[in-house]
Amino acid sequence: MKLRRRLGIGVRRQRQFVRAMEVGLVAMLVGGVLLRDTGMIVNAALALAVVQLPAVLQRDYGLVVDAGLTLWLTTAVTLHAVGTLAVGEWSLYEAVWWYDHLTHALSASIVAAAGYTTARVFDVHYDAVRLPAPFMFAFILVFTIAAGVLWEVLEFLLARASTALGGSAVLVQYGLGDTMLDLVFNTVGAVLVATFGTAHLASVVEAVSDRLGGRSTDP
Amino acid sequence: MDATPVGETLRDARVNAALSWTLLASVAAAAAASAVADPVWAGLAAVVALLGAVPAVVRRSLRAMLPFELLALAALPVLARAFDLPGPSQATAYFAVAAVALVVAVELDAFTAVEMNVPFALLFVVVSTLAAAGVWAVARYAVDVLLGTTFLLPPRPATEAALAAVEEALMVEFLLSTVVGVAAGGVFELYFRRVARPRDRLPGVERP
Repeated sequence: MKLRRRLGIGVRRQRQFVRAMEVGLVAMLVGGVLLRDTGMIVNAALALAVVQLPAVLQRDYGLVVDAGLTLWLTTAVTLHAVGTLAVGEWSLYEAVWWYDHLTHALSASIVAAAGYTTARVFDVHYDAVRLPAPFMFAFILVFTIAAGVLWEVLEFLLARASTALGGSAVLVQYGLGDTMLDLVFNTVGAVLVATFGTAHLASVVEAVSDRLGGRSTDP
Repeated sequence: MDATPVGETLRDARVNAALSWTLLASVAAAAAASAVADPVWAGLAAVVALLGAVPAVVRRSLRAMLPFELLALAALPVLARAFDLPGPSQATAYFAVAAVALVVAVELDAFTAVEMNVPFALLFVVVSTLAAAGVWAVARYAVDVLLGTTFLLPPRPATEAALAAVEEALMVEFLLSTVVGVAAGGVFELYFRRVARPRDRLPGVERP
């Protein structure tokens, strides 16, 4: 099931959206430099780096990432970056209660997609691996929840390292309840991918498997 | 794979089954004994015992058991806890969880349409251990919020400092589960390379 067909957005329009968001991120980076705002610079730079990923994969590995996937990825990181923009005390993350949940579900959906692709590549590439749909559904959920836990660990270690160095945290942990809700909304993103997203990823799976060469037997 | 003497002994289904059933009986006894005093660990022990009995039930044969050392990986932490042996309990718990994930991987491979090779099974184990830490945290939190218990949260009314301490402890637990999950993956990888492929010893499973 291709979301694009349901939404009726053409490939050209999707590329335009991606360009527009990239321009926005560049503007945020420039703004960060002008305002000497470290958080703004880091968040914009990281977002820009992630957004380049499909192009890099295509150039270096010949992986064709379709326009819909690129739009999905770009939207996720842009929404996060924009959310961290603070005007005085005001930011989308602070002002809109569901904004954090939205970005978490979206970025979790990217992680879920990566988990699905990994498992599918195993499935396609190795004769000894067979992962039927019900197992795949469960694996996507487990993979995404695990990535959420790993993310919390990284946030924690980063915060520790940055306070130890006397700086302020680039990524803020807002407290226990928030952490729990993050984990729950990560799972929501994973369920969406497990249910609707897998068709989108067929071309990526095929491309990665092709890169790895023909089917191999158990190592 | 060249068969070491130990491997030869264990490849005998009867010896293996006897050892495995002994382990399972001990685990079941530990579960029953600690059901009231230590319900969480009793639950984990019960899961190990039930999963361990799956091959015998599915194959309808007392001899169809998992390799005994695989069961031992899952059973030993549970037994150590039951007998109050020393050791960092949280790390032991996550090692047990990783071993349970490995047992699940082997049984899925043996008894369902799912087939895994060793690298994928290891990925499955590491990912499952981390996910278990996450699900377990959310479950404790949800029960605490709904029922007013203190599995994770401090007694109410909670001070900011108490909440921060709980969050810090949880982050350390997550970190621990990550380290133990990956370490367990390493141990299992050695086990598969050095000792045995469980498939070779599960009766009724075709060898690849």
